[in-house]
Amino acid sequence: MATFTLDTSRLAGNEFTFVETIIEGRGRAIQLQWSQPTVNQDLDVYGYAIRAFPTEGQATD
Amino acid sequence: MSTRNQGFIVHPATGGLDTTTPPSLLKPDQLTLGDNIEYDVQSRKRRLGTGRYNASAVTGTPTVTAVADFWRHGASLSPTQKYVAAVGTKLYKDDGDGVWDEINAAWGTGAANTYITVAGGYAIFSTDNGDAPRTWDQTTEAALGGSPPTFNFSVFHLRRLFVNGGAANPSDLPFSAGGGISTWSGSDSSKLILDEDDGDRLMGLSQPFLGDLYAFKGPDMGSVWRIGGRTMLSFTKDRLFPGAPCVSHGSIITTPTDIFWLSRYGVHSLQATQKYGDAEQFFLSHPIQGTFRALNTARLNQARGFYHPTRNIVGWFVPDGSSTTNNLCLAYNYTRNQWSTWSFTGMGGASCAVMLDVAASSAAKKPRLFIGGYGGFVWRGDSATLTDDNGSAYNARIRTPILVRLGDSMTELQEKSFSTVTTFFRPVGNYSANLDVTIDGTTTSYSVPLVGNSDTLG
Repeated sequence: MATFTLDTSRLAGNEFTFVETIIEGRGRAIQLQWSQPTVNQDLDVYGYAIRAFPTEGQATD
Repeated sequence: MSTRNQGFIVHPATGGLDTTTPPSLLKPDQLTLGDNIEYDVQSRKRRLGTGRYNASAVTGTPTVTAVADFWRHGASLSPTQKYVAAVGTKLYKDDGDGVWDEINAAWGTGAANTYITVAGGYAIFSTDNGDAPRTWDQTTEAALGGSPPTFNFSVFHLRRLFVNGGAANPSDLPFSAGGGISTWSGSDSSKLILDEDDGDRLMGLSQPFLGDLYAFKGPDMGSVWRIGGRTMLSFTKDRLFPGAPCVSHGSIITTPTDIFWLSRYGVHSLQATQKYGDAEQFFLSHPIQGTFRALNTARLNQARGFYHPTRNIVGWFVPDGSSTTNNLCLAYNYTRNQWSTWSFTGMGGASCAVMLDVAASSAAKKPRLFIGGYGGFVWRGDSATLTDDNGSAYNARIRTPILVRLGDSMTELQEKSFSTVTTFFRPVGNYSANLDVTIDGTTTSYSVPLVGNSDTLG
């Protein structure tokens, strides 16, 4: 059983967490790229999610 | 509070790199770019770093054309380990101190295809430069005894050295006597002829695979042969199938479950080719054919492959675009059947080998990827320090497909208003990664803190 230390340990633990980034834009297509160019800094991505809504109820063109 | 936003979730994202299919037709969890990454069980992470094995370059900064791990038992249960290398016009050994010591001062060339085979207590050096093969038994360096053909490559199998026949007999597969790698005449040494003058020559040999050897002809039409049997009188040769012309001996990788090799058309698996033939859709490299077609095919004969069992990877150092050096590595995770590319900063892979740490204690030894470069250095890979060469940065990049359909109510025909992007990841440190968001061709950059945003309790 792991030890949880008040005011030190994180609720999400050390194996999984998330960050929601506010973006603004309108368009039909979106593409995402994560990059880590810095010396001796890591990157370990499990997945992603996008929040969006259609700006037109029905496609018109 | 209600929101108009709808969620489009891709978690876990377990797809691999695909540079063949148009980016808008891929599944959302696939990648259009996966550079300097490895695939973990359910994630994509930055590949491990490299560091210089020898702190000082070999004098003259020549090309490391071959490097190998040389273990020798002799008459002892405790073997001695050395590294050996062909560098420029010389041969070297290393005692685990990171200093290459010269054992032959004039052999080979930095521009030739050079190979090292461990056989019968010797490291055997051979090249296509016409130099007679040399041996080293961890004490004495000498010419390979007897009158062997001037071969380019060799494999140790059934206590015999199997070699290519050289320029005079390009389709021959000579073999030495059993237990006598210096015995090339007499009743126990002979050769197999693999369809002479059929438009191809013997390009390479596999390591022993399920008891047999596999021979690869090329580089024009191609054919693959199985060499069976256990004794001189029972050796057999079977032409398994035509096609898939092998580009080099160094591109052939033998694993416990399959054999892989490069042709001028793609990367092949013996298991798949035997089952389905050499149609492109069954190439191992089919997902990255776009990347493969962009390689410098005129220099594919310089490709060198490796098998890394602890990282579940086979890979090839290849020349990209118009490069005249191997500046790109194609890495294939064979447990997930997924590709990534590795771009190294300040270094290229003229040769490579997965070797056990020579300086570590027996209990601490583990396989590491070693890369022989073009400027007198050998790099030691699998480093937890995420830099290349002498502390240079390298960029790990993960790029999704072009997402045009985010659900039944957000189709390809509808404009969308995008609100947020959520990144799911493992917290790795108190620093950030870059997130580039491209909407209809316009890119905006953001920063994603990788320390995580969950609060502490208290």
